[in-house]
Amino acid sequence: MDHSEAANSQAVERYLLGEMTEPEAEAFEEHFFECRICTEELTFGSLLEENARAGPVTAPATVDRLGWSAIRAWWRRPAFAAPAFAALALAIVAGHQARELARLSQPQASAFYVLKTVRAEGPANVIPANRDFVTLNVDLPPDESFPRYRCDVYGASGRLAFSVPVPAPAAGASLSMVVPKGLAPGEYELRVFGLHDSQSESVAAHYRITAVKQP
Amino acid sequence: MDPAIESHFIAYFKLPVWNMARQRLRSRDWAEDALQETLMRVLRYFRSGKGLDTPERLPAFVLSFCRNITREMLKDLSRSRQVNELNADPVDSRVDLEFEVVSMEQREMVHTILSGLGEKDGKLLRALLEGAEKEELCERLGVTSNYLRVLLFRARKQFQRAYLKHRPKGVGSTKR
Repeated sequence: MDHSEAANSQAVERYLLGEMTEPEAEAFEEHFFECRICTEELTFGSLLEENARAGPVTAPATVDRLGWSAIRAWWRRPAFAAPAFAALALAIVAGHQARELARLSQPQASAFYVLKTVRAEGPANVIPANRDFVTLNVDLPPDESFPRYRCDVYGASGRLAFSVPVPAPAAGASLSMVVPKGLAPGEYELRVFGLHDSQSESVAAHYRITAVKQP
Repeated sequence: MDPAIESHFIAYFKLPVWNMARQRLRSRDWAEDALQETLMRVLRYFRSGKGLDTPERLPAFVLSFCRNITREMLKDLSRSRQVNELNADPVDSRVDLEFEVVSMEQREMVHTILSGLGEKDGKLLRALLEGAEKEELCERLGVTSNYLRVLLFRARKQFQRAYLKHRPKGVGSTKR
């Protein structure tokens, strides 16, 4: 494939969308390894994809559902002082926190799931969806241990759902991670990273999880 | 091997290797691992005193390393990957892409571009970029693959213009 063929055949888009046959993809790869223009075009496509998946940087829409615009209008009245507004905001937050703390302080039943390492052809680990305090237990490879770990959970779109630092388990023990709010129904990937230090890390284990809605 | 030549080699090949690894592995983290591994193995080859009979085959040579490494990683996803396999100064062994793949600035650019495509096209392209199945999208929304490709092309070109406006030297050539 030469550059004019790549440009005329929308090669960058077809490659990014996975529309090429294997021989076509290999031919395009051989081309862009030598073509700075196509490499740059492809890089912008990749960056577009990665930043779209990360989502927009916007204020949460829930603010409007609290009637925030009405509160703002009230606050702007000349007689109203900023400390009163701050006290109102604090009362709203404190009320919510108090209710949530009361809920979390109650004894909870915890479901415990032992995850199996993913294989390309194997089934994912199945857990119930939307269940609070699910504990995921993973066996780490015996040939290497780290002082600390981090568990990253990714959704089906590849977006990071949440990340949890986890202390190293005792020698020979499994690593456990509690998911307090449960997972919505869908497919997930759990990647366990071993942290060498603050600068470097390695993938220690990798699991596929399917959260299934319960009847 | 001359450090200046090594730097030039890394600067030239980091983007094609990263793009290929990302596309093959469908993961940003693994793509960065594959980039590190590819460049390390190639440098190790040349540092050992070996060379190429036909220097113009260098891109294909690097590509072959990248292909092998991505195949290895696809077969063995659960093992830990040691990035620094060379007995070299750790300061030299880490390859830095020298640009942020995801940043707040870029996310805002992308959001603005997708919003500017119009409600239907913006939602369609966002769903596609976030990983929705292309065939299912086309069927559900009554659009063709070509339509999606053109949308992606337009968005990519707009993002490229916006990016270069802030970083005129281009991607991969300016350290943040």
